[in-house]
Amino acid sequence: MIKLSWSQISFTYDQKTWLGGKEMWVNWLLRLVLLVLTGVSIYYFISFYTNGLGLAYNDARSHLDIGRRVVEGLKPGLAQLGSVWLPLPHLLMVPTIWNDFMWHSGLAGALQSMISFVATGVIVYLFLQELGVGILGRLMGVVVFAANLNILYLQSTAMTELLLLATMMAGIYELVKWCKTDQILFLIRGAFWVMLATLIRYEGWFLLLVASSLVFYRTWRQQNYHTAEGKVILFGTLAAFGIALWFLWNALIFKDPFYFVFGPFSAAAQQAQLARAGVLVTKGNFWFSLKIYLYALIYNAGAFTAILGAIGLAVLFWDRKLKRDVRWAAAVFLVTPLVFNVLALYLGHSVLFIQGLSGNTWFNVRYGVMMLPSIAIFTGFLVDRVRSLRWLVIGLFLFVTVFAFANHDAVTIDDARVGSSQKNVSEVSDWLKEHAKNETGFVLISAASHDAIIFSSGLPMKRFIHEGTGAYWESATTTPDRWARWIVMRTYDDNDLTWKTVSRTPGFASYTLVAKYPFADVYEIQPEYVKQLNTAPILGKQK
Amino acid sequence: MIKNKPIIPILIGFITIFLLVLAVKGDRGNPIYFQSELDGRLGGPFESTGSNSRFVLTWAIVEQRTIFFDIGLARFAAPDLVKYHGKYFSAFLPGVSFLGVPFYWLGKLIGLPQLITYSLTMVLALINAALVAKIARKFGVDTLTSWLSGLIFLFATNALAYALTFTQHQASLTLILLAVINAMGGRTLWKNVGLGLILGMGLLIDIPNVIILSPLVMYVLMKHLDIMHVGERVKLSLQFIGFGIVIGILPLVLLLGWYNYQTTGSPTLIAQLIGRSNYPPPANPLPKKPVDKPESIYEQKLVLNSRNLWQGFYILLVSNERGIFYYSPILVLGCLGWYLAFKNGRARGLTLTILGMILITVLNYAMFLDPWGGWAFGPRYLIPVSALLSIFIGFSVNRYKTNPLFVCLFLVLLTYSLWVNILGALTTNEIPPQVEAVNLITPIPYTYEYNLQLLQKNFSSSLIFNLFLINKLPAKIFFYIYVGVALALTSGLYLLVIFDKRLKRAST
Repeated sequence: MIKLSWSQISFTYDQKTWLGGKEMWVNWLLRLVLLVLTGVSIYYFISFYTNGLGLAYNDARSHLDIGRRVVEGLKPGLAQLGSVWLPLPHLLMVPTIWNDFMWHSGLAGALQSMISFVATGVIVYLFLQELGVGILGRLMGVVVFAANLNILYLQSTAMTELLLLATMMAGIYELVKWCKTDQILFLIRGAFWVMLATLIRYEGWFLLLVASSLVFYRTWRQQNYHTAEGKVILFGTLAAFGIALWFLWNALIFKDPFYFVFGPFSAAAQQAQLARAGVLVTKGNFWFSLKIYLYALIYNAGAFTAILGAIGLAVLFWDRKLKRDVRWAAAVFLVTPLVFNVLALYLGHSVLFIQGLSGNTWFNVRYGVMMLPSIAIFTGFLVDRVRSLRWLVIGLFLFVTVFAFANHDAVTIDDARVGSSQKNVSEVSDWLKEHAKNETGFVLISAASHDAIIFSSGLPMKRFIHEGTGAYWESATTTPDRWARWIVMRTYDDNDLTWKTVSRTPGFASYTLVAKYPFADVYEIQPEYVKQLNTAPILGKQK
Repeated sequence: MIKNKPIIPILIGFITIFLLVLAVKGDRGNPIYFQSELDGRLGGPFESTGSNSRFVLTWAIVEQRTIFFDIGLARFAAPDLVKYHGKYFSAFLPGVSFLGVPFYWLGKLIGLPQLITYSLTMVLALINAALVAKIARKFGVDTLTSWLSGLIFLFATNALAYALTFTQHQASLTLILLAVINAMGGRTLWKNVGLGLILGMGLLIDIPNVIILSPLVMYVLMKHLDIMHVGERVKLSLQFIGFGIVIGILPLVLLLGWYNYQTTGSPTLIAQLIGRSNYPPPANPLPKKPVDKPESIYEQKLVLNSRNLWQGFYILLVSNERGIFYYSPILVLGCLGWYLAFKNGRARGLTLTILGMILITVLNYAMFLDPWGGWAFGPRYLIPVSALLSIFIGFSVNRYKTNPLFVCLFLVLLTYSLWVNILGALTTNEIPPQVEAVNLITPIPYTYEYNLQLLQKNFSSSLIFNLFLINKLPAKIFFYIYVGVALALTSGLYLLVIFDKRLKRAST
């Protein structure tokens, strides 16, 4: 009933009707969250696709190329999944990447990021619900996660961060439920999600270690050693299955189970090169590693949000309403990405540049985004527990977030636009598009060095002879004048496998440098030798 | 008990005004310099361009009956100057300059236009100290302790340094504190109109005032919403007197619109958005670069940018350049006092609102592209935060006043805070940010070390010192005497607070 007088307007309603409506609304709330996140995800994918930023990351193009090589190329097959990068993101692309649009738009890779974005948002909601947080706190957690331009950008790309976040958060959620209820089913489900995380990025391996330790420790404290041993074996068998498969894969394909660790394209090899160049400044320096990662976290989450998250963590840790092992488990798991990244920087397994701190550019600053779901959960928890301050916290957060969006403040986008994670190879790829598209003949190129050029050229994968093409590569690098109409390589750079091998062959004399660019040079076979070229895939199906 | 003796407040008031007058900037001239001389020398009233541009507008209004500057005034107001459609005018909003008009006119009558105009800020600073005390009193702090809060704000923060300028800080703060008082108690139409007037005036003085007051406005608006449970039914009511705020704000918004229209040609376009011009203009201006590629949206940054937050927090809170807790560590007791006030539960809504105002001010200026405030003394943008925190110092004092550890801490923090801020007030406000200081042809310190150097060179900006004392005692001694009196005043008041409690106990 609405009543209007000269001094006020009033609205009177029956409390029962309202509560009934409220209950219905609460039941639908999760579906509404899912719907809104889906809409936001699609909107931002389209936005970043149309402005070209969706494919700006060098790594995104490489991921897409790996997925494509499984289904199309001179030697398609699962072996193209390669080593070093874990296989699950590329496997998930296989059902769609055969389609040229899905490949070249990046959607084949972005789709899993988008789904992961929605899933992580829902998990944040459910996680907070599991911690006894009310509706406002849950929604705040989802908003903190979703209203972050770095997350919105990465979910629009073929990068692996969002997929890892979704699987990690799912695993942690199930494990917290196990801590709360002691039901074995949650432990098994947690192991499943952790296993998936171990097949996406190596952070998943660290999570496995932490999770196994916590399962063991908690069970040992509450029951006995033998039960703890049993539970860890149960958990570990499933959770570590992916790792076992990965070792087996490396042994079968590359004849060395540790190929992904010590191989020529491994992170160790890359980091060693960086160390020789003197830019691996965090190695052996714990405080600097911590500082660098905290800056990455602050730039990704926003300084104010990061502070709220830190306060929320403290509130969670000392909360009396939750059982001690539940809140400690939640706190420890949620801080795992921070510990892993600092450790990786300290040991020299990872590299991260913060402009102004460790050089004049950005590189891998997106690693800071790994703590976003944790910060979202901590903030949602804070809003719930500190009732008198909640509207103040929400108001100030919105104030800062408005300016974050108004300024397009996203450090991951800066890295993609002007940092070292991007490579503007358009000059080389445009040259190939213009000169090679309507001609026959193969392009000899190192995928390890120039995957971005392969992607951006728009040419089908089967036009390229690269390290993964087996006999084609072996033949082309010994007698290039029989195979390659064009060679794309960095002249005088022995890190470029193509240059390293081809420059020492007699056939190289048959080529003329036709284009010179900052990232690579293009050589074309002289006209008189074109007739002797193989221009079709004559080597048949290779094993 | 003690507070009932009228001699105490009279003495406190007299000493306070005396100290303020002692700090007034000036130099000997004929008879006093700067009254007709627009000289931007160090330590003078015109050392900061933030004062100059506003003063020049007041001058132009009174002397030339215009809001535009001639060439001479434009030269003096630069770089806080805008040239638009061939006319020069101030880059700042006109509120402070408008308020200064009657003071200038009065000063002109007695041959001291600059001195009397600047006395506006001094009067406002005194009012602000009184308002801090009043608000503390309304929160339940006893009278003597509330006076202590006011004095700490005035002398132990950079409010003193900016009480001697013609900038927006004290005027903005007066409005903010009046708004806090307005927000107390129930709502009436006239109170809402009053709040609207305060908001309008705040807008006329400085745009960020609207941001700083926004938590308070939300708080007041929520007071017009009533939820009543009547049996099984719930009644939500919204009172229309809230529209009084709109009635109050309208005339001043129209005035601002008129001013903008006269200067920029649009009622909604303020001078600062056009961009500053220098005078004289460069002889060979660089040709504008042809824009063949529009700037990416990721390169366009607003004046408030969330990316600046981390650095802004550091600069404004703890750095030795502008950190509020570096320049006035006594305010840490204000943070403690806020917590005690919050736990106390009295006026909890307003306590939270004030916290909101403090935090939104810090966030706003931490995001600002120049949190240093240019060449300045201490965190000038956080003067409202200093005042709001000072209100709550009274709570800390009330709670722990006889605790030996607290007393020691209080005295140490107070002494340091007085020492630093009086140093700034008696020398100069013009401390460059570090990045500029180290690149000067002759580098100067970027902290209050510069003020110390000036003092060592027997330099003081104090008019009274320069007129009567410069040949009688060194500037350093003058400074120590000043600090000594301020310390005696504040710590004496602290002692009175303790004795007052004991006398009360004895009488009961």
